[in-house]
Amino acid sequence: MKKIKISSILTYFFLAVGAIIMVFPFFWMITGSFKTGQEISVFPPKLLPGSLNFANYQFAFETAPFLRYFINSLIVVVSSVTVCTITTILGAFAFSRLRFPGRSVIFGALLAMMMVPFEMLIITNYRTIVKWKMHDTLWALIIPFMSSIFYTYILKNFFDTVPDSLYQAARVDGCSDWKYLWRVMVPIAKPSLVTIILLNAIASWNSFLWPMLATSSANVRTLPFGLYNFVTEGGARNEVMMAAATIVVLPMLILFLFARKYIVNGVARGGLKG
Amino acid sequence: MTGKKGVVYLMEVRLENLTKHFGKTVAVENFNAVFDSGELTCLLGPSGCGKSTILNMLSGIVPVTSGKIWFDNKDVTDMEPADRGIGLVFQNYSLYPHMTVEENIAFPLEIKNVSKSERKEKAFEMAKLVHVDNFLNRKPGQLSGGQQQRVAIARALIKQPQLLLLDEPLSNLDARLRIEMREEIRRIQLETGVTSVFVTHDQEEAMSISDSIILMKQGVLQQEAKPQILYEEPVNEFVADFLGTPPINKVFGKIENGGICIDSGPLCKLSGLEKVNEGHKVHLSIRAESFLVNSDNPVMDARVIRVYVMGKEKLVYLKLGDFEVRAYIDSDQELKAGDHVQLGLRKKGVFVFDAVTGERIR
Amino acid sequence: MNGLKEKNRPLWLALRKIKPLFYLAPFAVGVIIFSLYPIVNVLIMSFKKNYKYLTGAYDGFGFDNYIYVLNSRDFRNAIGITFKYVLVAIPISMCLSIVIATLLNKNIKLRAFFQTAYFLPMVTSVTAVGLTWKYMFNYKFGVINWLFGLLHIEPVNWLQDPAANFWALAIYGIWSMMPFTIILLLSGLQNIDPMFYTAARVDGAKELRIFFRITVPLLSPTIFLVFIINSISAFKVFNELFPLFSGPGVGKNLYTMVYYIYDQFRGRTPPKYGYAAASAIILFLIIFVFTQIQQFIQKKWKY
Repeated sequence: MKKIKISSILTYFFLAVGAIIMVFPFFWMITGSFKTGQEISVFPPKLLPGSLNFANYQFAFETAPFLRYFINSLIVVVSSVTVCTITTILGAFAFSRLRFPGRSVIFGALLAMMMVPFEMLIITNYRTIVKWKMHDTLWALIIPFMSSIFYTYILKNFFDTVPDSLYQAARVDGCSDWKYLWRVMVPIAKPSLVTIILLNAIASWNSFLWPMLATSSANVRTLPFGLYNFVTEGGARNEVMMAAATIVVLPMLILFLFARKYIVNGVARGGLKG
Repeated sequence: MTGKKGVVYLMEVRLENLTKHFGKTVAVENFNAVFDSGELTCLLGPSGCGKSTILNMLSGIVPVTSGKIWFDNKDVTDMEPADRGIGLVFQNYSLYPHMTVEENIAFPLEIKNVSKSERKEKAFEMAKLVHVDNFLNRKPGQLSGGQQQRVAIARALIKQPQLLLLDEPLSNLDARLRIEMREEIRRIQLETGVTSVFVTHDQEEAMSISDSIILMKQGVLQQEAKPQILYEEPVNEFVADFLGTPPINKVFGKIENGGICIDSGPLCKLSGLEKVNEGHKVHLSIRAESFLVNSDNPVMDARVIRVYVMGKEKLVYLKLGDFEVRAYIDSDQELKAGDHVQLGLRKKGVFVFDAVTGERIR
Repeated sequence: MNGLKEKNRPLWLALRKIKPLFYLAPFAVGVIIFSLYPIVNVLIMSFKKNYKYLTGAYDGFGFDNYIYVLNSRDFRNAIGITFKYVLVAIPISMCLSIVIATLLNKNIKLRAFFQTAYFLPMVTSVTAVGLTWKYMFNYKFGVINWLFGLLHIEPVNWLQDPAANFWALAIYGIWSMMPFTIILLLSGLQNIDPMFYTAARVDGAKELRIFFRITVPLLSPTIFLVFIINSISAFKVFNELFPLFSGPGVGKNLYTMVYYIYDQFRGRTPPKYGYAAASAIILFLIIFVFTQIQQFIQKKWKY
């Protein structure tokens, strides 16, 4: 009896220490954003700020166009995720339900392409964007992400699990493919779709390497690159840096807390099949 | 012509030399049959016999290789499924999981852009017919298997199909529900009078529900008849073997002196075999209820191996040469293992088949 | 409706035949332009000799780019650094994740709370949280050195000391890798039939024995999968370098393979596209071989 107790105390202790390590950077970022310049550079460090002062945020917004960055990020995320979701739904449906010559060969080729690292593609994509005179515009951040092999693959796998007889029943009732897709498949696939949308939105919001390559002017920067620029060029002080970092992270943090279930379940499902 | 409840139009369905090949495999070969108007016909056969393929060709989901399908006088062979006016019920119910019972039932009308109020009214009418009117706002996941299948039937019937196709609709249900639902399907079919085709591999189900049965084997029609006739007058050994519980008794032998000499066993004196060549190998099939133990007109003798008392009757295992057969006898007959008995045979339920071709001889 | 179909039957049938195209086209356009074409192009570019970006001129095909890249000291160092990172970060994060996932899979209180905590870094922006880690790694007033002080360990100059900054990168990398790893392992664990545990317990097996004799073997397919996914992303370590070190570390000692690729066409004038392409292909081949080896081992391993 006593033994069980010790092991369960150990379990909780270990989990708690781990959890603190996982969450601490976020805690440190947010509390740091409220500290004064003096509070943040004392040793030993102060756990909490003396008061909730928003001066750092004010300073960040005044010295760099964070509102502009924020709006840019929002435009990029909303438009690329919306378009990508639509192309993903249509593509996944074609691969899952419609018959056309070479279907399995093409799908196999797509799977192979999934193994190619994105970093290998950026050289050419950068040149394509330059050739189209889209570099240094928001288009450069949207256009290349309008379709995704990975998300199409995940959704296709889910569509495959919907029984064939549902499709046949609908066909007998005179339901067109188009209507079947939107009235039956998409509602059934809602949990998977939500996951795909969330993952896509998170990835798009946090995207750093590509915006760093494809954009240079301040007015088309998105948040992560804007933040990086703010820090490197402005040599920002730590407390302001934390405030700016919070601006970038907070929206996704809130999104995560609300949609944890969808994200976690979806990752588990999609990942295991991939 | 309208059906009994003003719901359904009657129609006769005819299959003409229907053939389906999947690559090199032949699923259905030269199939001719008529599904009579207003009747419930069972397509019966072991799995892989092509019965579901025929159903799928009837619905238009699977294109035919050759042959024709006639709905009354209309050739529907190349018609789109949606234009055929059929209702389809699947083994796994195939309800749309995200829609309520009412939305599911009304979905075929929604596709046809029928107004919402009319949809609601019709869906309720159908739900009442299949007795799910209390669950209209539930999702399929909250219903039992039997209730889900009722909803599926309502969905199939709502657009007043001329033909209702049921593909093993009871196979996913447990034994008790299966009996309840097959009676329900029969009731609904009789009430609406819709011409129906019911696919099953369960002979008991087919016997109890249908007006007429089509028994198939490897894509080929074996016999089309009313259930009782199929049972009493099988055209070949396959049909005789397929029907009946317990399975029909089979003993092998050859013709001798106008009777059958059972391998390493007694001679069975049977009439009606005079025209068969002496020494011809045959299979003698006898239903368990067709034995008469210690009869006044014995045709052969046998030894009792085991006796089981089963309520109103006894099941006796008998040794006949190399073979063991089961016989039902009245429970007042006293028998025990080791007894020698004189066996007689009833008129019904005794068949002789050619050992090679399986054709019925007697 | 029917009549119309009859009349224009050939047209209608043709339309039906190409219908899948309507569904595929939007997806395909993006994939062809931004995935397929780049793959082919990089392959071709990597063989072009003296490729001039501005004019598009080149002196025929050959292995020159590969020879240059493979002989370059920078690239060889990059391979070494990248492998070191993979070999350090992957095993550590895997072991920690397996333990944590097993504990999370137990019937514990506050499970949802713990899960949320462990999964939180999934939404991490590399830049924003990387900057936070930079601040935590601060030599003078960073919270990590303060913790080291409490344990009577000499403070480490994480960000400026060439010997230490690899560890700063590894710690941050492991931290950000863990949530995804834990999620996958947890779902693998949940697919194990509890019957096995009951049976083992009935047989009197102790917790630790159950863990090594039942949990780990049954989880091994998931472990291998996670191994592959994580190593692929670890081979591409790059983004983390910017917030932590604003570049490839002190004295280029964190000059990873992807950084090399990036440097060839962003850090040079004129950009060396040929070298970038060749090194990208080499990176891909390394990842490919690595995953093939893992898959080979997995097949051998299977019971």
